[in-house]
Amino acid sequence: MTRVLVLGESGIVVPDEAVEAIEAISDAAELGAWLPSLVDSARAAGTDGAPGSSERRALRLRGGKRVEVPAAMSIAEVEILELPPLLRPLAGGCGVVGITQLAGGLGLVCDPRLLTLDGSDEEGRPS
Amino acid sequence: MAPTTQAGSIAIMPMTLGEHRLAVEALSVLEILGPHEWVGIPNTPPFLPGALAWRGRAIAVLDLGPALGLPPLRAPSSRARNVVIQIRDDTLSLSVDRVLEVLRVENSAIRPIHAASWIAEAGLPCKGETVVDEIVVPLLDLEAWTGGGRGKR
Repeated sequence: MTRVLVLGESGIVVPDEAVEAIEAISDAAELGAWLPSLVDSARAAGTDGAPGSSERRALRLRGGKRVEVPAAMSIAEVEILELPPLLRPLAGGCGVVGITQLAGGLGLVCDPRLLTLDGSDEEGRPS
Repeated sequence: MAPTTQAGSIAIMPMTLGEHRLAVEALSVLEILGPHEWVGIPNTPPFLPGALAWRGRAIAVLDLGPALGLPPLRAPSSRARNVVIQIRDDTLSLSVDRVLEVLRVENSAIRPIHAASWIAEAGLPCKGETVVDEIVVPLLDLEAWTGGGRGKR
């Protein structure tokens, strides 16, 4: 079993080991990379969208990257099923490394450190 | 292709997808599931849209619907049957409407694709075609697809 952060209703979980810290976002003008959209824009549009700063938190990741996630997070212990070799090269760019069973159905396991943050700088902020 | 059954014959498993009838080699089939929840994986092509949990691991979902002009699968719902297939080192689930009885056909009855040319036009690799109940049934060559076609379709 692996400890993960369950990101609101997005159906995405992030392994706890990837996260250095969870930080509040104080300046609405400084909104950064919204993780649900980076992983899957279609999925994000159907759920949380991209809310304002009060409904966001920032994940500071081990290694230095930073992404923003729904403030409504929970912690769970889940079994991560790694993606098969057939899917790994396809899903790698969006950080998806596996799937897991959540209370509401199957979810995606995303390691944001693997994300290709197109259009953003090293800190994960839009350019 | 190495013989998979008795000399001179092959076991095939016909299945239906929409109005199309297809077949795979029966010995590649590990299990037939009913409707099964799956999850979409971003950045994947339409024919390989996601994954499902099977026997404690994740396996790829194969959807031939779009190639055949049918509506694509929409997670989390699958079609009525999910055929778990082993192809070399890959295990995947082919989502179809119905699975029919396994048949043994003579190798000589597997002809080059001709009447079922629609399947070649759909871009699906096939080993050939045969006739089952007076219907021409293409025999899918999923091995070619997971080998040479991996990640390209």
